[in-house]
Amino acid sequence: MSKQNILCVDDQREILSTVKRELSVFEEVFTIVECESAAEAEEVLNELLEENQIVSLIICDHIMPGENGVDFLSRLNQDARFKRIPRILLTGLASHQDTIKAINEAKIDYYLEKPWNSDELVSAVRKLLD
Amino acid sequence: MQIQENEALLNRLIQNYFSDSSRFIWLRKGEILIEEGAVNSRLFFVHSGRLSGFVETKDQGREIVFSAAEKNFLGVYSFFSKTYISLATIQAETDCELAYIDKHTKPAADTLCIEKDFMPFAVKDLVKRQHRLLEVSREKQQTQKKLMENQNLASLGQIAAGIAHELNNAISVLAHNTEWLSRQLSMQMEQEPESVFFKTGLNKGRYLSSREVRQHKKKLRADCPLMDANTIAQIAQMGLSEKQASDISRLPKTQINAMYNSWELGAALHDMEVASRQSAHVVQSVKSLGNLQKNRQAGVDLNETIHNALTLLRHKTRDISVRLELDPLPPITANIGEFIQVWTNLIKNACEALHDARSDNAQLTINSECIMGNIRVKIADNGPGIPNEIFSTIFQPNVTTKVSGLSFGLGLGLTIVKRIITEYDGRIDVQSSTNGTSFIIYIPSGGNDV
Repeated sequence: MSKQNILCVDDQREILSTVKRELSVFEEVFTIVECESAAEAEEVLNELLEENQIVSLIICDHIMPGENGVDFLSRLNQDARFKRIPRILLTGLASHQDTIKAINEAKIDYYLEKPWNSDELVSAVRKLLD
Repeated sequence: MQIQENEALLNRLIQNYFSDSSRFIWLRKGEILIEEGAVNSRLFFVHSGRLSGFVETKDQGREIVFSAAEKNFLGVYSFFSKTYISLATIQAETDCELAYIDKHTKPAADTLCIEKDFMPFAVKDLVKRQHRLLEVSREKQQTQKKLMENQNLASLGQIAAGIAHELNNAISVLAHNTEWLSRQLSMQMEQEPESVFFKTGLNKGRYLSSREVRQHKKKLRADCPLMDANTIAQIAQMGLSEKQASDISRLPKTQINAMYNSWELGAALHDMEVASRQSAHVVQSVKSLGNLQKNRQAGVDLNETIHNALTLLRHKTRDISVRLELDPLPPITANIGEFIQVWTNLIKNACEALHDARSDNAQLTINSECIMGNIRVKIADNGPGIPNEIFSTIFQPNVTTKVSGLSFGLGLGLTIVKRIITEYDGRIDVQSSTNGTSFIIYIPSGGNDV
């Protein structure tokens, strides 16, 4: 069976490691892959695809240097290869327009605001992985 | 040619209409010629002196609507429109000599009507007045815009300062407790075999980037094909040297797990320290946005503030090679926080540009020197440069669109930098090309060269 991954994207390592630790309950089945930018996440997505690995979920921050989270997720939504991967937006600040775009164009499945509640994160992830 | 013609025409008008000494008037400085709204059937010519016309309004008080100097006409509008009512109060600004004609004055012998004679000058006068009004309204618009911007900044600053004050208490509790926890746990871990891993995590934090961790993992997978994925991930994450990694890779899985847990405990505390320091700094910069901390102190070494800024931005500069060329600088009277903020904003911008460019050879050079009593600090990156379309607006406040500049100044980063530098009578220059961007700051040291 192919390996399954959860991709976490945030420009702050401290946030990444916190999310990773909170998702450790899933680590028996899923590998948590950390990326510090949208560009890096895209690279990793392509790499994993080449290795025949499955990405089961993407958790993405919005405000990052380079491409922002909503634009990145919108782009993935245009790409037939990645379009079906469930997406969570985890953000400290998104404008009204960003949020509308996130729902309409990036087709996010769940929206979490920083500081987030870890139970909510875990239950959202569980629901989307089922 | 035009000017000569006009000159000749004017001389003819003076001779024909304004040379009769019985129609001369002399005013002393400050004297009123005509009151606003008074009947006036005269057209005046200024032989010498200067006068101005003003109207009184309830809201704005006295407002000057025109001025007239030597060789100008006065009462053009009321005379030629035949309303014979003065629109403004005309007052002598200096001692004046005027001549006039009135509605009974006959046209000169060589012409048919007075209007025709005066036409070019009347039009010129009206155009001049219109021009003046246009300029005044433009000025007013500018002032209003500036005022509104300032008000926006001020009210934003006030709100921010209020929030900052509240946050400070919360951050202090988190920062102090984190420090205490780190100390307590360090002592307790002292006896444990994993204490060295705890200390590495605590002191160095997560100094490897996610990319480096992945590379590390790949290498470990190749070197130790039998090791399970979780153990590989743990070893890679800790950022151990190759030698350390290969040493512990032979240990039983449970032992590696215990080491990793200790490291993670230390790294988590490190994260908390970084986060509370960062929050404290955000609060600090927000506070200075509200202009609350104005205290300047003598003997400030700007090099020290550069070091402070770099400390705060350590996590941003991890994958950038930072070169410091700091000459000794004369101490100045300054607010330390303001300068830390200046460098933080500039260095952070540079780091983001470098990060965006994803260059393998990202470099940041900071040099400082003192030339002829002026401190010069240059912050240069080898990033892709500032895009042309935003180059001219980089110092303007842009709260809504510059979302990526949020962490240290609400998208106002460079606006704040410029404001602070200006307050120190300094200057900021920016040079940008596809080879990189340099911000150069000049601050007068207030003393002589060192």
